[in-house]
Amino acid sequence: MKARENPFRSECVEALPYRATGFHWKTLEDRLAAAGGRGAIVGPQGHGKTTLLLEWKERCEPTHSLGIKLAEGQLSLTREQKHEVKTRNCIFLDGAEQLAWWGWRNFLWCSRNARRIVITTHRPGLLPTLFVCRTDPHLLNELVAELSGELMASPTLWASHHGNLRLAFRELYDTCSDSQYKTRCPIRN
Amino acid sequence: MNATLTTERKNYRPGEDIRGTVTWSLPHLPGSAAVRLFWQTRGKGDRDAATVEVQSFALPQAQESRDFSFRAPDFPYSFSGKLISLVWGLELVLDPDGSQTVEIIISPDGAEIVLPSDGTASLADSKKQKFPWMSVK
Repeated sequence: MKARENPFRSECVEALPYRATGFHWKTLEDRLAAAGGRGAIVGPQGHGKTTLLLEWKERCEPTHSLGIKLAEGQLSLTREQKHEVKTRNCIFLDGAEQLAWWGWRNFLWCSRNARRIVITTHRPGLLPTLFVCRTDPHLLNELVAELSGELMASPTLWASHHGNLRLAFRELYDTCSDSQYKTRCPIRN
Repeated sequence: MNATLTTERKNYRPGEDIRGTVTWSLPHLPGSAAVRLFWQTRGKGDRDAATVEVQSFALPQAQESRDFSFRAPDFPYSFSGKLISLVWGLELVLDPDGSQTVEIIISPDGAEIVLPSDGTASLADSKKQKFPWMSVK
């Protein structure tokens, strides 16, 4: 199968909207308001934190919101990122656990005038926890069926990747690259 | 959004003219209207993309049809392997209403280059066997 036809290619996986048992936008917004406009989305890798954060950012006024994805091992914001943080009302920081303690303190200082700050992190503690991202085999099966239209994930796939759906999708990509499944990618292109 | 983008054909060689027509019908005047020629990668892992050329339409009306023309770039070629595909496309962008995209192919013979799937041949070998027009150092 050609890469552009693989139902588990990046663009299809990234286009899947966030979903989880017990998840509601209103509840999330209420929790953020109760936490004074600052909170964290918590969870292990591949459990949907970034997907949820990006969707939340899209729901905000684009001229006032800022999304920052920290690079692997980035201990502090860059000069340009600090400047942007100081000028925006809504800040969405992906991968806050990357920051060193002084990088985190500096981020809080730069964003002190922001109306809302939402971060993702692997462990709770930096800001009040708004939502803990979790996955389960049923969710994986639902997403696989949505992408492929006919495939069922192996019962052991979710467990073998410890619930990391990103890794599970990559394994499915490799499996599909040798087969002839037709895509039902939920994106227009 | 009611809009269409049509091209004379889908397959081009580098240097050839890519001609087409865009038509749209909106309930209001668009803020801007343009067609862009771009490529993007699809497959496993990070994606890459680039806009090669943009043709903007002056004073766009709510209902209109316009012609556009690009010159097919010399590179990169449209190709597909197991891990990655490179796809060329044309996109009509009507701000703020949305966009309409069609895919095209740009390569020396006008057909998508399909990379060997066995993964055993070296790049140089595969070039010699599959793409004799490529220079192999």
